[in-house]
Amino acid sequence: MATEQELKQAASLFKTLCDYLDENTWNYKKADDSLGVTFGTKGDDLPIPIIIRINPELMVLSIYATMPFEIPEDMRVPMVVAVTAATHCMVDGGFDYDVKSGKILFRITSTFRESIIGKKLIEYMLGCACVMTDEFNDKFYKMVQEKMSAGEMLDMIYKEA
Amino acid sequence: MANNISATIYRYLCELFDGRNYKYTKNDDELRLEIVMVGEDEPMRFYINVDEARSLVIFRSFLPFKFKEDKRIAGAIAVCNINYNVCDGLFNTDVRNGSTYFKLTTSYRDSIISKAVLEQMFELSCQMVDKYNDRLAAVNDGTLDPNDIG
Repeated sequence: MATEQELKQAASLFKTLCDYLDENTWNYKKADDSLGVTFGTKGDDLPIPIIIRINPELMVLSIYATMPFEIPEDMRVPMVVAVTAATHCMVDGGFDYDVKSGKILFRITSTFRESIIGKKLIEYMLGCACVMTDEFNDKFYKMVQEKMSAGEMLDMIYKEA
Repeated sequence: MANNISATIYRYLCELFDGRNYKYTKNDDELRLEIVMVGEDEPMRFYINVDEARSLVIFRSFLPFKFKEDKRIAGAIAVCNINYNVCDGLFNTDVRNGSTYFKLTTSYRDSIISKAVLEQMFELSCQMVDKYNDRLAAVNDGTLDPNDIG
């Protein structure tokens, strides 16, 4: 359970987040029961749904970018190779992958306990989420469509990394 | 020479460990620290870097084993199953060589981060590695199904 101070700090960060999104004319929707927003953007090819959450108990700001497709059942185990390889290329953030459902999302987090978070940090995290998802979503999609082998997936990720 | 913010964060990290009388090694020029903690089973080595160019604090811990070749897919399934259920930090494995690590980062771009952030990052890193290092080893041994790692 978050303390009053933690809730106050989380609310302040949520205001900073909304101010940043407003200033940059992002068209977002606030979550009813939590300190979160959702909106969408588009990369080079596929749409990129974005979820931003502020967790007042853990004092963590999280930005998620989801894939607009699920991995079909016959490719769910092989895709662990692609997901871990893509994450290995990153300094910050990584892909979360639910092997059971085939859902993939990019996650990047920053802890804000007793800290003052600037808008440029939010911009950086959002930028990472969009760029990394745009970089890999079409690759993941292609791997599934072409039923690539593990070797082919690794070649694709590391050759173009 | 590190900028003031990066140098301050580096100093906070040193003070955190000095305050607890933990032994560690450091590189003041590169803003790097290395510390070994003893968990429930395996010792845990952490590499901590204040990355001034990227404005990132990075905690990394490499597991003391590599996944055997015939266990690398299982290892990849295991880390995916762990990561999908955590809020902060992640495990990852390089299927080319079986090397496996925990990583936790926080950006401090345009921000003032506190000692409490670094303390929380350190505590979480220790908890996560201590919780999963033996389970990942069991996946490597074939005694734990990667789908049961949670």
